[in-house]
Amino acid sequence: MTDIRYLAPGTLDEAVNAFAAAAGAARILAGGTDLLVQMRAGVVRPGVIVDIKKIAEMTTIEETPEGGFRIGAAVSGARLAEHPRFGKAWPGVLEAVNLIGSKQVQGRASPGGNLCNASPAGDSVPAMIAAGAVVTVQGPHGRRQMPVEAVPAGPGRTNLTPGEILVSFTLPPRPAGSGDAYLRMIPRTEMDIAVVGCGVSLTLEGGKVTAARVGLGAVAPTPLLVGPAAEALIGSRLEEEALAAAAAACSAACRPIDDKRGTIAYRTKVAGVLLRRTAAIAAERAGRA
Amino acid sequence: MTAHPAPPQAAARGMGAALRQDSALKHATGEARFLDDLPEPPGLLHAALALSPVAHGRLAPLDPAPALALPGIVAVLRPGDIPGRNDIASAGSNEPLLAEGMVEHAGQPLAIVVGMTRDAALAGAAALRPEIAPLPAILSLEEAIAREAWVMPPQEIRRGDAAAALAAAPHRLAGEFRAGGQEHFYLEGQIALALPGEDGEMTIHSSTQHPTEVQHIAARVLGCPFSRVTAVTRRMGGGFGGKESNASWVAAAAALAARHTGRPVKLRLSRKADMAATGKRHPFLYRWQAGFDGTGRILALDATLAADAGHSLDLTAGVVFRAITHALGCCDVPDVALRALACRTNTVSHTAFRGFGGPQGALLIEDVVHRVAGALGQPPEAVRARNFAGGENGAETPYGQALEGALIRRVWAEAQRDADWSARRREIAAFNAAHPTLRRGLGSMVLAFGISFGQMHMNQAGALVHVYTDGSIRLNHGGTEMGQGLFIKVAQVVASVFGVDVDRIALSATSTAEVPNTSPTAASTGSDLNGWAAHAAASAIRGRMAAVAAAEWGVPAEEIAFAEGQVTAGGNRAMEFGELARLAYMQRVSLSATGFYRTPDIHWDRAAMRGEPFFYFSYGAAAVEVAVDLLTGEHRCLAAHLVQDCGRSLNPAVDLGQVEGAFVQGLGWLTCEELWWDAEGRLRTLGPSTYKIPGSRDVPPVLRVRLLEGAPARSETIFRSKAVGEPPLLLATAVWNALKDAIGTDRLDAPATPERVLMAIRGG
Amino acid sequence: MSRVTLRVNGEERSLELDPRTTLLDALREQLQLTGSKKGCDHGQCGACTVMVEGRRIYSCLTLAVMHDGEAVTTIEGLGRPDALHPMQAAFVKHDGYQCGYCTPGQICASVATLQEIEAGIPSHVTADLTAAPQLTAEEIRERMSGNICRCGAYSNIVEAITEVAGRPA
Repeated sequence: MTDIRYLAPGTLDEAVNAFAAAAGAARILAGGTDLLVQMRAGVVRPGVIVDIKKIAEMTTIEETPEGGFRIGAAVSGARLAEHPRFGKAWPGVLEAVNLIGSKQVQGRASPGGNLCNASPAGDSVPAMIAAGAVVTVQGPHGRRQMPVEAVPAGPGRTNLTPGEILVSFTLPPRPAGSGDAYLRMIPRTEMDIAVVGCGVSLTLEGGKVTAARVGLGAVAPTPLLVGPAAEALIGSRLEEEALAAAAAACSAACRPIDDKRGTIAYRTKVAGVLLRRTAAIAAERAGRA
Repeated sequence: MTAHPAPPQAAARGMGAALRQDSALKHATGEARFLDDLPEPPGLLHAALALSPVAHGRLAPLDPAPALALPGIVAVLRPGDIPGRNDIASAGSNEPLLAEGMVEHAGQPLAIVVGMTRDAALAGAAALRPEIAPLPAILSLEEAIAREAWVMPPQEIRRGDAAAALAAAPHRLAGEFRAGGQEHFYLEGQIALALPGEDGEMTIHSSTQHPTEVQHIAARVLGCPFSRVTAVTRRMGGGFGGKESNASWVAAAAALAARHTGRPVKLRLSRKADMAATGKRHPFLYRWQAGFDGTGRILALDATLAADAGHSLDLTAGVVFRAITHALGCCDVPDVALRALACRTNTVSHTAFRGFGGPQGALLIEDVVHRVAGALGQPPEAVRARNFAGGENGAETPYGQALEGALIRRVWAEAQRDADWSARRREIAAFNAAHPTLRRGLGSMVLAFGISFGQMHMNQAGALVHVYTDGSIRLNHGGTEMGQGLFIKVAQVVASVFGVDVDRIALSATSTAEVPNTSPTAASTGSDLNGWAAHAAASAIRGRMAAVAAAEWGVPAEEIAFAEGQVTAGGNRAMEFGELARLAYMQRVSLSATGFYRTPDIHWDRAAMRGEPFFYFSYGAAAVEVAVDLLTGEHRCLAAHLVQDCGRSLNPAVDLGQVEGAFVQGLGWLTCEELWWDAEGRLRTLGPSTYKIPGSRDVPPVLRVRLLEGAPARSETIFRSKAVGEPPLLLATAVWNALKDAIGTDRLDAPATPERVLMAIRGG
Repeated sequence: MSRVTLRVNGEERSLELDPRTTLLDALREQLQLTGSKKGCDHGQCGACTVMVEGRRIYSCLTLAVMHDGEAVTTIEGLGRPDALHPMQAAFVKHDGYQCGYCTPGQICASVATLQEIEAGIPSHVTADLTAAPQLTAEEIRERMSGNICRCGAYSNIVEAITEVAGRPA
């Protein structure tokens, strides 16, 4: 068997250097819940494993001065769930993160890993898209930021350039009257991979939608930001007409595959249903916020 | 945190007591040793299998070089390395251990790679590059039927003149539907550890339901007498039929590697290899025509049940036998023609799975009942009851064995009462009228399940009991423990014969060296057969001990009683059980005995397809409620009320667990467990991330299980108990029925996944 | 090879291993703690559940080297047959097992479940994410959904957990 090195750098710069130095042979290890499966299946055979869980910036949750949140890429779902204020501000993102595997997986798995694994069906991604999250990445040529929906390039591929590491997510401040939600459709009641996942974030003023974002997962090679669905909701009071238009926009955005988890017809149909239901929950939360 | 002593055992200790399993404390503390937990012997090597990526094709001789080039590889074994026969067939013949010349299914073993470590062996297996020239593959039941590709001739059970009765019936309907297969997903995967000994001996620790077949098939592959091979099984981490025939070839592969290297070899299949290379429950396709009258009485039924056998016979003969003998369930139909087709496809060879074709058979009559009810505007349960065997209808099955009509009616009446059926119907109607996107439904099931192996010769068992001079007792029998509680039940039988506490009985691993020529622990017969065999062995020793006590005290042997660890005569003579054992030894009386049992009275005429193949029938009934989301097809089982006939239960705690577990497993088969093969015939649901067995939230929040009371078996079973392993799996059919009730569809294929339910809603 | 020191069931254990060695393999093969089982080796069945630094994880889905200096509790560390942990006693009492293969993982996950509910950590079915989770059967079932039991002993498992939850600490 080939040799392998395990590195657990204490700073981001060390991690970036080690990652870049190993060129393509290195893999970033956050929670490890995807990487280990791939290693054991022989899909990846890294020469270097860079464990980023020892880097403070990547494992902390901060509240930004503007009132948003900055979440280190390696923060586990369990840590996010334990945060006293995060779930109150972003219940939809939290419920999506709470759906990544079981409690045992959440003890290790991170939203950063979920994003970089680039599965079309990663649960946290549509919720992050709906939330308008922006990611910070760092590589040999410095730092840059990009919207979360720009990260996945296709199944198993990202738009990070060689040597770049995902550092953190930044979620914007929440105006009063905002709420978000995430729902997914799975063949079983739990512990499953989404056939369709839908994240919705809304801001309401006097019952009228002033801002909206919609993210869809598992219906295309990458999770999608569905602009037309959001546009259909903005300015509405979530009347039937607006919901029908948004649902239709979601169904229209689907470019799914037929596979062992569901057919094209089924995914397309369910995407619209989920949009309506997710929007209803987000609106209800916005009304309470 | 305070440390807790073990909870007290049930107060009652004897026969029929709800004693916990013998391994309970060991399971709860991690001390119970499964095969992979045994300390590894010095020099242990590990094996891995190279599997075919192609469903059908011509295989060129495999080049071992890519594996041998890797570090830590000891050997690559191919068909030519087999000293005996390359044949692992349990019933038929010519089912190769390693494909030779032709590949018949994706996942078929091609070579065994032996390495210093398991990872090395796996890497070696992955490095092999089999050259296979693909041939057209049969990948569907329809295609196999069209090409008349069978693994055995079609079977038919007929009574009366179905064609004439169909023509004469006031109403007629035809139907077609299918039921998927099921992966066993025993949590402990297939595993064997082979230890070569002196003089060509081979000891094989195997996670198997059938140690004798492990012995036979390993000996066949090694080319040695059965007497050179010993198969040992302490416990399995689940079997469910998947370790009846499939464990044998895994063990034979380990033995072959051990023989070749002269070192101990462990073969533990990875979950993916396990799911690719081992058989599943047979998928079925059903086509039927029924004739009935305006009261719902079904007068005629002509049906074809096509089973996907996979590429070889394996245990398919027994599976289709059970399917057609159970295709009328608890109902009577006067004129019937039931055909079973055993279709040969380029798929893994399907095998035993809890129920063994019985659950698939029972779906037929349930589908007919549902459709007849729909056509007449009657509730399905009324149509089923109208056709119950016995009473005003005939009691005999079409093959000539009588069902107990009174028990059928009783279990259904009790389930209906437990569920408060009529009130629930009204509540559901009100709910459905009020709710735009949710539908609730009610479903029922009444089962009659025949107990005995379909192969008459298999209905035999042996046991070996030793009493030691301190009064301790060692028990061995041919049955294997897979969590079903067999060991504690048989121990209870022996304890009751000797009148001692069950803790006095030491249980031991099942071994072909202790009790030979055994049958698999299968067909729910474990306690029936082994309980009687152990009873016979213990009774023989007890008889000799009683004679010693009688002589000692000068009383007739009939006056000697064994109870509460004492041996007594009349009111004034008593000694400890151990004291009597010592006395017997001093008088040179044997304290060891074998016991043997053969099920009486069963017979079957293969040519006429008639007889009384079952010692008795088990009955049960279920009433369940489901909710369906009309917009997504998602559904939940909300409540289930189950009544199961276990005769006079040997151990109610064990039996209740079996009923509940079987129901959950049946629920999985019919609702969420979907095997998905791609267009090239490769199974793509090869792990728990894609193959979904029921989880903790799939169990209905209300699950009430009751054993039928005051119903001792009429046949002379052990303490008038009845088997429990398989029958209650059929109770989950009520969930399938309830889903059809909720959405009002004619056809709903199983598994009824949310997608199938939604498509049925939109189509109907 | 890498060196790692784990505090396993209260005892310091130093190991030298290939960095790819999972925590499960380290426990089973190097420390002979075979109570944690290999069911799927894939992070999907739960049979390998142990607690690391008080948090439950799948030991098949984590590398031993990632836990240098950390405390690991396995089923063997919870209790022995003559001195059971209350959860182990409850599983025995309620027949929360059949074949027993998933049982050690179920028990570790059960102990963690009660700790998580006590700490107020919400789950997917917690209706109100802003209030403390309640100890309902639904809540327990959801939190135990990472442990599958092919024998279907789920109801008895929930009964065992419910009994321990109701017991004064």
